[in-house]
Amino acid sequence: MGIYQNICYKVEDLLVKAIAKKLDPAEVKAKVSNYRNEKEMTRLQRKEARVPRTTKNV
Amino acid sequence: MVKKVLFIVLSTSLLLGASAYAHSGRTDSNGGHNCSPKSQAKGLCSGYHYHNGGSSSSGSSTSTTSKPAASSDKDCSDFATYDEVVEYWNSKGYSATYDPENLDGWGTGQVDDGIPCEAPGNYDKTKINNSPEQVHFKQEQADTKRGEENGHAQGLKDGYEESGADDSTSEGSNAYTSGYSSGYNKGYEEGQKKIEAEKLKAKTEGIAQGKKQDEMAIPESYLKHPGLKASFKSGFNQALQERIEIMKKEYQDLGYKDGKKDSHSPPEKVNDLFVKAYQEGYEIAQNELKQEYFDMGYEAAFTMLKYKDPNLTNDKFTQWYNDGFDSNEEIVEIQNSAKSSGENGDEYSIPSKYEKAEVIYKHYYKKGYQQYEEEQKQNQATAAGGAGVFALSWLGRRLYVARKMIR
Repeated sequence: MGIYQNICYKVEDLLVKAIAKKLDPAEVKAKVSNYRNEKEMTRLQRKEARVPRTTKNV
Repeated sequence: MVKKVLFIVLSTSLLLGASAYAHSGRTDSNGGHNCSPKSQAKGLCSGYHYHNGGSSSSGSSTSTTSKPAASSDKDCSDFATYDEVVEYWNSKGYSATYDPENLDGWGTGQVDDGIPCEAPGNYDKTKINNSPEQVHFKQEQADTKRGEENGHAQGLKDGYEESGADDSTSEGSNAYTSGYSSGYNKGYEEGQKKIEAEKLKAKTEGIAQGKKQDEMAIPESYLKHPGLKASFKSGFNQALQERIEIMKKEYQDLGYKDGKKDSHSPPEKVNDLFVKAYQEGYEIAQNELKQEYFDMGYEAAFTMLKYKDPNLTNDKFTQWYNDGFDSNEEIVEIQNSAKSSGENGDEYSIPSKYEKAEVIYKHYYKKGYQQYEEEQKQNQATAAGGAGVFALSWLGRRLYVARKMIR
């Protein structure tokens, strides 16, 4: 999954660079980083919120 | 001297008297005597018996048969065996009525049985000349002979006429009946042999006539005997039948030749049998011809992708050829096999059993293989299209995310 995510990030970076030429690169970079962190946090929260399946709570 | 003469005379008369007694068989005054132990031992007599019929020593009891036997008169005890008695009896020609030596019975001819002295119990009395047994035996022999002759004649007749054998007769003595039966059977067998030989001859003549002519003419000599007549007829019919069979074969061969040439011209003004034989031969040949063209068409089907007219002169032959071509169902199997092999993408290799249909096999293999290639291309195109769509979708997603991030 790590490799696939890296490939996706690389392609997305290229596309961002292409469609946001007129924007400030630092701002763009921050937005991208912010978006990805949020996504990562959401993913982690969802993972933590998931109750482990045991024989007691079935 | 007188005494001496008297003694001589008395002695002589006594001697002569004794000699005369012995000469008459040593019988007593009744003409009989007791059997001596010697004779009993030899089996010539037993107990008291007579030879001179009770007369004294005359030796010529019957005047009619009297014979000067005084010097050679014999008595039973003079013989060593009974066979000697019989031999003597026979050599002298004695019988019950002529027995000058009184070897038989009472000697007077009153009780004579024709058997000299006393025969042993198991003796074959037929050997004794003029004995009742011999007379009876001779009569039987004569009866047997006469029966055999009569039976033979009747048997020969019955055997020749082929009537049922019947060797019995109600006439005559047992000897005659027995002789008749024996002669009859012998004659019957001879009669059968004779008629069989004549029947063979009649048949041979019948065959000879049957070979020459169609109408039978039975000789008069054969008309009298049903068996001979039948044999002649049988021979004639056999020869006639053989002749007819030969002619039928000839007409059948002719029909066969015409049938092969496909030229039908049956014989005219001949017996229907021969027309039929011609027709049979013709049909056999036509069927063979049909089979030939049928096979030709059938085999041609292996070498042609499409039917080609064989350019035969006769429409009938062309039809047979077409029938054979159309009936070839092996072709369908070959086509399917070849196409299937091509469709599977197998390398071209014709099975040995389809070698005679190489043209067809190759053609249908190619067809199948073309189909295989098309399918392959289509599969590749489909696979390529799928990958493109996936890539575009993925790229679209990345673009969507990129836009979302910089918003």
